[in-house]
Amino acid sequence: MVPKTKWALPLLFAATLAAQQRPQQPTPKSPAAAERYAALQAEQKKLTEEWMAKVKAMSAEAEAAKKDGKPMPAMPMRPDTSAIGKQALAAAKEMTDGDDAVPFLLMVVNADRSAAADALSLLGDKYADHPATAQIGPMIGFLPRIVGEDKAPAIAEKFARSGNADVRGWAVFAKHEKTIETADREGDAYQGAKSELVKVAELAASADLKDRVRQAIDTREKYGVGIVAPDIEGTDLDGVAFKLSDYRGKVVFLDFWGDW
Amino acid sequence: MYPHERSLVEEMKDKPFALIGVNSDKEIARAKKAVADNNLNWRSFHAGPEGTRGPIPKAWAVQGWPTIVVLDADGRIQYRGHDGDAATKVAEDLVGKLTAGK
Repeated sequence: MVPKTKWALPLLFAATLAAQQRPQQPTPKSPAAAERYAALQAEQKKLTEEWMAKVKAMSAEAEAAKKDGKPMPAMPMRPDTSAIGKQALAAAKEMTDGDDAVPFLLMVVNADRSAAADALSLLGDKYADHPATAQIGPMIGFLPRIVGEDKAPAIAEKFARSGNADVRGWAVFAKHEKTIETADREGDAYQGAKSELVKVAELAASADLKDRVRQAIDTREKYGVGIVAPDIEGTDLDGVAFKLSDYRGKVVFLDFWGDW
Repeated sequence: MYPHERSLVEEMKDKPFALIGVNSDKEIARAKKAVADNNLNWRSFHAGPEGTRGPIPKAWAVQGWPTIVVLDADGRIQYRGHDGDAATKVAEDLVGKLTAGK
């Protein structure tokens, strides 16, 4: 038997990867709104930089404490940007043009969790069709965590009715992701979710969304439990070519690992 | 992780079992250093210079590391997930069935 020491908790990079793929944040069109936006953004940047400096100082302290066997210093608190979020929400409410309002609403979601539900509701009610709203697409799946289980479904539904193919696509993806992951592949629930997803992916412009839909379906149908795995042909760390199928006849423990 | 994988390979060395890695470090040198520093005793594909977004992780839709996939002797997927203990149990059971009566 393998010793029953606990495996390290899986280090999940999905969130980091999603963050890397996030395109440039849109900025308001009208000069007055753009100026207001830039001021809030500068304030946010300043707070973040101050916090980063504290984190850096703390790491240095931690190094020293480790050497001297002293207790570790506490991690500095993340900056409180809720005031910025509230100002951004107030600004968005004064505006009527999506080109101006949407960037402020997106800012609220990042800066102030307590105002996120209001901002996302407004976004869904008035600007669901606006192209910049597609920015929140990947977040729709996390709505329960952002605004709470109680408010999430109603907000998601607003995006699911959007005239923008990407916004709608992300909302449909969020709705069906679990079904694709877990439902019986031969069953109606799975087949229905799949055909709806294939349709929204076709209509969507977002390469990210198309990828996620394809991967979710492939994970079940090409690389899921019960499926004969497609071969891997590659080279090992010394550059020698080999194939996964070289190991047929043996049980294979395929481990996607990295040293990072 | 490394000690668990190492001991799994050690335990299974005379059995119909192979631990195959898909190393997803961008730099192959980094992977080779990890192998040398930690006495890693299994063979790995290298996912290529794009690392976690290289062709193998991408095709297999791997979005979290580590991901473990256990294949039976016919190449059929029997486990997919992030839980090393669960994956080990599945692999041990499969090897047990394969070697029963031999």
